[in-house]
Amino acid sequence: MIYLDAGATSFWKPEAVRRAVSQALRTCANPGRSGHKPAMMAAETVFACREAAGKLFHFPPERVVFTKNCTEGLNAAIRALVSPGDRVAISGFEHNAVTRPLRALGAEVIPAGRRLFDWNDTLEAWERALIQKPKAAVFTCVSNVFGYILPISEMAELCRLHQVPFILDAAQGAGTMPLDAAGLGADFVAMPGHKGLLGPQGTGLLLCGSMPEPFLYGGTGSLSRSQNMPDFLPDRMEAGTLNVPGIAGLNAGLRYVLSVGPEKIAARESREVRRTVKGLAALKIDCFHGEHQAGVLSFREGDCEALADWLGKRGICLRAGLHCAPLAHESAGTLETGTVRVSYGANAGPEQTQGLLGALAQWKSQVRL
Amino acid sequence: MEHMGAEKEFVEYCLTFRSVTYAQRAKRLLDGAGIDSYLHRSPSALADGGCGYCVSLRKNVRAGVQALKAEGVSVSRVFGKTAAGEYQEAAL
Repeated sequence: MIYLDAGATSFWKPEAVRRAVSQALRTCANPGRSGHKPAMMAAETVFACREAAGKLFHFPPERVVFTKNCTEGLNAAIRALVSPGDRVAISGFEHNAVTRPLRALGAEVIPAGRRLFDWNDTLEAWERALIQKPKAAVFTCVSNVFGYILPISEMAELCRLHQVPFILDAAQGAGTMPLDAAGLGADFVAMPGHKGLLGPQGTGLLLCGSMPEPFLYGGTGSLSRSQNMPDFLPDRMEAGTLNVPGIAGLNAGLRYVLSVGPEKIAARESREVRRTVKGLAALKIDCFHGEHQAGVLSFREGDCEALADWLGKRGICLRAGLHCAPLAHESAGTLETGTVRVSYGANAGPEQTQGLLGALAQWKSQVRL
Repeated sequence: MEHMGAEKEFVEYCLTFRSVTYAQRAKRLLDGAGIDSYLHRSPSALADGGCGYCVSLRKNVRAGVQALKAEGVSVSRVFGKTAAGEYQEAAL
């Protein structure tokens, strides 16, 4: 099997992730509730994961909140900054995890920067949007469809300059690009645990530079006498029992990323994207590529669903369609056709690219016949 | 045994925190500063919010609290434990 759908979730995980999940199931109880050994083992596991995330993203561990995915973190962050009817600036490449919560709040959305791989266009449009005094801004690190790496440092700087609080969607950037969350001055950074951070599905992180409002209320193991949620993090946002086995796996994934380095992982993925671009050109298949591209690449070749299905039956796993990001497709002019997306993971290698290109060559020859 | 603030001598000091996360952060920082401590559930008498965790240490409490303050970790309260096992709030 050749797995090229890491943009949806990483399939390859370090062996340490599997071991950590299994060990947590055998040794951990409920963290922050009791003082016995299995409870304290769970608390230690959870805190170790906060520390690892804090180290990777330069952020205080007690402000690292666990979520079940990036979407949950984005919802919490958006609800913290946006009220019904507020104006919000977003990039032209946002995912439904951003646009749907904004729609639900009745926000007035200003999409800014629609040209792929063009930092000048993105930054000029971003500043024009910020001048309109939005209540908040939300932008992604990397387009999940096209792999376009947005100029996040500059966008963050503009937000600070115009005093617009902002949320960074690190769904595709966490683990595959250096990210100094504290340095960016973000109010919130949301990310999945199961993509570039190599943890299990059902894990996510929300780094909180500001204080969010809880949307889940319940036991936290702290201030139990009070009927209000604690006014401090992470407890304020972590009602109920945490996903300890998932967090144990995420901790192992984070430590793998820390040991290898996100830059090295990114370089590995980018190398394969470049090889794929060359190979697709030789096959006369149009793809979307450019400077500032991560390990994600979209292309069009006939009916994208039919092609992905054909490839899937031959053991090549990738995704077709709109990738939950119609705004990004609208920006790129692919809303009607969708694309086939190749997204490399931390184990990216030439054999994956060769396998894909070989299969595509076969597809092309069949189509010709 | 360390003499603190008032006139009492305590066998141990107990630093209380808002939640287990802050107690863990404190424990890590104390470890880093070379100050021995251990983390445990707060005794009933000290758990004024209903539940809680604390970090206990036998010596270097003043240096420990200062090290925590320097890293922005706020200690809720500091208690001294007498030889008889009673806790009394200690002023730093």
